Amino acid sequence: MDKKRHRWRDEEDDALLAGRRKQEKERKKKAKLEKKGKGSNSEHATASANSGVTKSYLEEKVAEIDLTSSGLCRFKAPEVRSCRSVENYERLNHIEEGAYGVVFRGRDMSTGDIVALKKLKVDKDQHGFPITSLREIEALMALDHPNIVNLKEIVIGGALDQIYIVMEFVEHDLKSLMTEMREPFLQSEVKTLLYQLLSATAHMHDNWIIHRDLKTSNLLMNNKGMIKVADFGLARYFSDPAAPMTPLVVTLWYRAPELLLGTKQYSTEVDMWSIGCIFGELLTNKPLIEGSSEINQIKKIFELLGYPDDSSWPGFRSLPNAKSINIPKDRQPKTSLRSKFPYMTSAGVDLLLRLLQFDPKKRITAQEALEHSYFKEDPMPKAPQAFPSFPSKAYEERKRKAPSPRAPVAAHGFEVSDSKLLGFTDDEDDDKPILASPTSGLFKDNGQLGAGFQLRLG
Amino acid sequence: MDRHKRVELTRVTNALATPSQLQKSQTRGLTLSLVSSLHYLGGSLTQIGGAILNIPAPAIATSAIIFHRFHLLAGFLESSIRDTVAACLYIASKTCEIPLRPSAILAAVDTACEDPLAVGGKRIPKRKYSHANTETLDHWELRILTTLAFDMHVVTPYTLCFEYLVAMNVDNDRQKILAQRAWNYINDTMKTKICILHQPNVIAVTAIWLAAREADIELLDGEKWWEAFDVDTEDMGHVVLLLREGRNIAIRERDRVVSGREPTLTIEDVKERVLEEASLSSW
Repeated sequence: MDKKRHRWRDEEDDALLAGRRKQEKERKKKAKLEKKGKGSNSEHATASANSGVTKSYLEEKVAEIDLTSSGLCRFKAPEVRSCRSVENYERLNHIEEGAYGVVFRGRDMSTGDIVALKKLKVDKDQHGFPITSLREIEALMALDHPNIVNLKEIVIGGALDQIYIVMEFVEHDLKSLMTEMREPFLQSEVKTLLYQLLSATAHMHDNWIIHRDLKTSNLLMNNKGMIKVADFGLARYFSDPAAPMTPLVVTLWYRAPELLLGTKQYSTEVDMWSIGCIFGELLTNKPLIEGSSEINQIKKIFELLGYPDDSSWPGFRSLPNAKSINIPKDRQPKTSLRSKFPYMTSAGVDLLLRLLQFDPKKRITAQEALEHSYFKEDPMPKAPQAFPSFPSKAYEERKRKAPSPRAPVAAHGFEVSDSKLLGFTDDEDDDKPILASPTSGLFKDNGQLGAGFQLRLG
Repeated sequence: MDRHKRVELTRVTNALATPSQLQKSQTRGLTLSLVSSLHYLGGSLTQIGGAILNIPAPAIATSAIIFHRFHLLAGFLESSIRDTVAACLYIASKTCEIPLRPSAILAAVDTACEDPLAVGGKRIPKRKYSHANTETLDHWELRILTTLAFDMHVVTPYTLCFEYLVAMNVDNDRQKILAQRAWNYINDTMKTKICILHQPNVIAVTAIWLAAREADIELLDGEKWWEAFDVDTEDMGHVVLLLREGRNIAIRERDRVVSGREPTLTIEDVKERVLEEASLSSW
């Protein structure tokens, strides 16, 4: 027995080592270097949090392996681990109690970072831990992007059902900011915001995730002009070819026509339609298509964009709800979009129209949209740093909640309150890079850091 | 700081056991062979339960991997396999987007417990297992989620296995033979700790290699094709070894059941077996 056990342990260890060694080719190289005795241990030491002593790979192989000393080279590979305790955070102040639980501001005691802690409600009558929360956690864990709200970890309190999602703290949400503004954003500002949103969306779609509830109240904004996409409670992994999914997603005003017509085979295009609606809203400071019901929403869409026909949207008549739509004989085929945005350049209108294509196949993708000439013509996107930092008006802002429709309840169940992080500002909590490298070159620094901005708060 | 942010390659890699976790899992008063038996029983129960629920193999494998990860950290003395298998199936059904009713899962696991090793014929009455309710299910679901830090990201080797066969231009007939056999080998790995020790590409490659050997099919003219999939012979050897170990465990556990003893499915059963082993070794 004893002998057997010994052998087993060695076997497992060998495999572990070997597994680690070739998880990335780069690492392989390092390991080889070490074999030759050239490598320095310092690199590995940084990569491994818990390695006290770092030995070379060869030494490891030869030496009698002692697991307890944890002297193995631990690379930054994913590993199985447990939740930390909420006690690692200092509770600062209560922010908001929404439908999904309590949010409060806290400080990470080891790093001093200011975070938002969202306590999850685990409803006893529901079917266990909500699937929406599982989706949100999985999506946020998989996504790492400057314009997507950063999930730091999940921590637990004393009792089993005290579960907190720890996220970076973001001061405002876009919807509430916009209601406070007397005039809409400037073109240059719209471009920056839209570009950030598109770049976040491209990242999600690259990672096979559809958000399914993009809207202005789900876009958070910090005091440095950075948008953060939040609330992934409806997000899902998608596959190609598309697996059937529920059409009951996306808040009505931002819902794509194919969803309104009841399709179950949809994909990333539904997010792009929502972005089109957000684009229009940013330009006018008013939701683009405000339907009162599903049927009214689709009617308003057709009024704005003209009625679809077999050439503009092949096959739409075979969608489940298409029969209940009656298209008038004297329909106007042309869109009235141009007249709605008289001050926009033709490139801008073109991008909006491409986002609001009826046929999902013809709709522009996030990656294509990032390349659109709209972002390359004057006025150039404003540097995020040049955005106004909205003053802390904690008490007043808190009272005025922006009215905004909610995502379909059936599929959601994890709705983030519209003005969730509103009302508190913190001057020094955000030390994130301003923008990811692909975007940073885009913004023309017009030397107006702060100076050129008019405070447009109500 | 972001300790939960995954590194690159996340879409094809799994979280694995660390050496110290393995070490710890072997010093909780249970012998290594008993721990391996319990992993095996849990994996087997998962597969039978999943088959009753009629969910796809990748979902069953996801459940099994969550099961092995949980017990790696939590041991076997605080939770019964029966409860955690049900909770893992519950979680996997959600993360794989085929949500199932709690009652359906409990019923399936109850039935699976009657014959967790598919011995056939000999049926164990439902006796002590059927007391479990949705409350225990919810409890263990939360325990598993928090123990594993909500990281339910699991990659199973099935798709990779097919992709590799296609990548190697194996003709249709041989592909069918290999896929079927490799599929079975992958199922076998889910009843062992292999899936928390090795990445899915290693498992997929080893399964194909074993299938090819069994069917006497030579792939790519005897070249070291597995290297193209970033797998080396050392790892494959370890997987083969663990699979063989798994077979031995299977025989041992089946023999126990056939000889009239009950499968070790509850905490009490585990404790009994600890005593049994202790008395054997003191002999």
